[in-house]
Amino acid sequence: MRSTFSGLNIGASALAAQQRALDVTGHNIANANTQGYSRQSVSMVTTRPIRTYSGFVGTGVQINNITRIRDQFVDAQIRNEINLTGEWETKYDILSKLELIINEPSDNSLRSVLDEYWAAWQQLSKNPESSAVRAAVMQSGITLSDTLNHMSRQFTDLQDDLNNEITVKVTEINSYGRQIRDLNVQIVKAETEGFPANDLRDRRDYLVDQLARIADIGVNEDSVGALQITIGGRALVAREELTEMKCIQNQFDPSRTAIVWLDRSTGNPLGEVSIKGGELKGYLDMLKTTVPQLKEEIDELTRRIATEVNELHRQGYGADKSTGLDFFTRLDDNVPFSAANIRVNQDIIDDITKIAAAITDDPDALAGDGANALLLAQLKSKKAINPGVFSPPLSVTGTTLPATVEISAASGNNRLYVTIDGTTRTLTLADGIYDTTDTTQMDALAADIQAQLDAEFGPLAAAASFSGGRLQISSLGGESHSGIYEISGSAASVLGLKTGYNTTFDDFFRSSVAQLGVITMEAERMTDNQNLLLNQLQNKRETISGVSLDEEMTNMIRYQHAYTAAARLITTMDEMLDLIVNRLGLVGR
Amino acid sequence: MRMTNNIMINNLKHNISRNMYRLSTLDTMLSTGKRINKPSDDPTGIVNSLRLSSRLKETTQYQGNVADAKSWLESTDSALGSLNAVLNRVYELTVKAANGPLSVEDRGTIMEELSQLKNEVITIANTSHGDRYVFGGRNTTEPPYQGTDWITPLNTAQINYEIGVGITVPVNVTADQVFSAGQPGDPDDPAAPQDLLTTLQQIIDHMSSGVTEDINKLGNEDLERLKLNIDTVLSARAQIGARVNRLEMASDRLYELEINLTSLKEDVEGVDPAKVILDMKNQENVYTAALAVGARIIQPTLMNFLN
Repeated sequence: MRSTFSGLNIGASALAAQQRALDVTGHNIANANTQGYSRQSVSMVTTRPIRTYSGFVGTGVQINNITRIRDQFVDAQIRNEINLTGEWETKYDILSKLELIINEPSDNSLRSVLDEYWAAWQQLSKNPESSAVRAAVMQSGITLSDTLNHMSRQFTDLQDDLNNEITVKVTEINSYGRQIRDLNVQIVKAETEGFPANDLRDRRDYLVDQLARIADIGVNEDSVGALQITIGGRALVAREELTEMKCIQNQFDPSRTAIVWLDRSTGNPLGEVSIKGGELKGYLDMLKTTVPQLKEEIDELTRRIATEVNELHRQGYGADKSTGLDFFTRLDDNVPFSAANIRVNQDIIDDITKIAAAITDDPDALAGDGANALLLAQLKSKKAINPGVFSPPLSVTGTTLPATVEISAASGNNRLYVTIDGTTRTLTLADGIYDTTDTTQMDALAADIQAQLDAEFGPLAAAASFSGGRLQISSLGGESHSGIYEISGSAASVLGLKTGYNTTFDDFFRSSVAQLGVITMEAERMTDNQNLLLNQLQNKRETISGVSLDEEMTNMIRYQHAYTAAARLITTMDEMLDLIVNRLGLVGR
Repeated sequence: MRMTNNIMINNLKHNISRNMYRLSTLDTMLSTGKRINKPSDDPTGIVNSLRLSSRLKETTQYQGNVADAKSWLESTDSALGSLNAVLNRVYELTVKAANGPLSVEDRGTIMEELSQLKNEVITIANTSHGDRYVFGGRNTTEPPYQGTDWITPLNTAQINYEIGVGITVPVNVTADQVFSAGQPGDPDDPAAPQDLLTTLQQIIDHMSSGVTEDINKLGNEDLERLKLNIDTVLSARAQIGARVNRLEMASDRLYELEINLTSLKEDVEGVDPAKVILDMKNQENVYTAALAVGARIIQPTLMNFLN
């Protein structure tokens, strides 16, 4: 026998189920533009049927569960690509900033300033009497040193910025880690109670995507629904535990930030975090290689220009007969020349007659003697630098010497400049005609040089020796940055000691610019490709998880109609009951 | 495939931004007139572009040097031209004095003229170009002939201007090359080079003494010496002429080089405006089309058709 009210129950379950389905549709529509949201769908099942003599009879509908539509595989793909995108975008961004520092092609780049500088010497060689032209040389020297100083400052600023960015990113990692940890706790709690925590999971997946942009992460979900996030093989979040990280100064290189794990309980630094991808890798790579390399190239250029200019300037004579004066000096005498550490000699700024345009000290010829200025101008096309050599040569070996070598103070070829770690000292060799086949005599010369090296730089700085017809001077300072940077001066060429250089300043700078251009172009292309790929993957995810308003509207109509029909069912049931209760058995009344 | 409104919006955003980026690249090209605006635009092109810029700058400098050298040499040449004229007149007068019996008045007039001519020679010796004395070697601030003699020591060094990488040209001739300055001469050998001013003084002295022996010397020795001096001046002038020719050739070469470099530079970094404008118009069309299509696609949803 059928229960009188079973029809009403069916209607009621239908109303409740359709209403719930409408709620979900509403939720979907509401979150159509929420970042990371995946659409939810309601699955309805029939309630348990009743067995009657005429077979099973349905008893209505119930909501089985509300699930989010999501593809874990696409998620993993997106995280991989988002990681690469982050890395290349960061690199491209930094490289574009480097391009701005290099500032080519333009009329006020280092190259243009350098061109002006050589042109000023060229003018002075034609008109050494004119103090206006002298002033122009001084001014263009100041412009050159200012430009170098400014570039160096821009490099340092960029390095500071990058270090700050790294700190910000690490803070973000910690913050995302904390939120993911908190969500882990909530999700595990909710799901053990039997409800799928759809919205919490969406939120957590969104955070993981953000994290994947910053660093390469490993993601692993355990059986209870908690995520484990690892960075460089070490757990950032493990279920309910969070290991934070922190930035400290790199102990080997103070210009770089290092990222370390912190002990959970004590907060002490543990080991360095190994970063293999993402924005952080972009920052770290740039800080470690490209930026310091380019900076070092400009420093090397500065060093060579200053050394070459000074050497020629020292041998010349000013209009006031002064000689032996450096054109460029250092701001800090304790460190070698660098783009940050160069200025025009204050003596020259104070008195431009000290600019050594003349090559002889013949008092009657000084005024019109511009021969040394011409030599300085010709440095422009002199091969005076080696490309790509960033560590200084540790020893200088001369060429095989001719049978006799004459050194005399009168001919001015008795001076040898040795630069070790940026300090230049002048060694003076004894006059004489040296027989280079006579080892005793040459050993004596080497011993003389050795004695002077010891006296000037202290013992154990450098060693001079003679063997196989060649003279060699090498540093004893170990690796790192101590060593002989250069041996120059007139005696050096007589003794075949002049360091060989194979590129002009112009070529050196141009090849730096070209290199930067190549890697920037690659970064730009990679960024472009990655963005395209990521866009496609995100669209793929959107086809699966995205909310389609048309679809939701259709569903809304569907559920609304079902709701209306269920309501009609109840009305019908109501009318039937009304018939039974109020109008049945009234025959003949 | 399932489509949602957001996919369409994302794609549209992506495409519009790419279109805009291309448009802005073309715009930068057009507004700067350069194809290369940063090293990454064309890393190999920029090397050429920078090299050509430096070469061009260098060439301009050398052109300036050539012009300066020429103007210096031309000043010298015109001085030597007048010197030549002066010496020819001296020669004429000396021949006249040596050959004919002259009245006392005539001799007086000739002597007066000769001493004026000698002063003229001194003025020429102290010719200056700008504020620089051209015959004083590298000592350009002091007149080389002062009072009655050359200054000591007389500088005879060359002044070199660079007119090409590593190529220099001397721009000055010195007093010893023109005036045989400082050459003592030999009283017994008229063929020995002698200072021009000494020669002139000797001519004046021989004329004024009135002694027959001296008058004879005018014709025998002084003329020969003077001729030697004139030859020296002529050869100095020839040398200057040769240098000016060389400079003119260098100037032509530099001018051609400048044109070549400029056109090469234009080829490397310049844009073809017609092409870029066409590209830009094309890109603009694509961009407008994307916007128009976007406006149509995004708007309608099912809601527009439900009552």
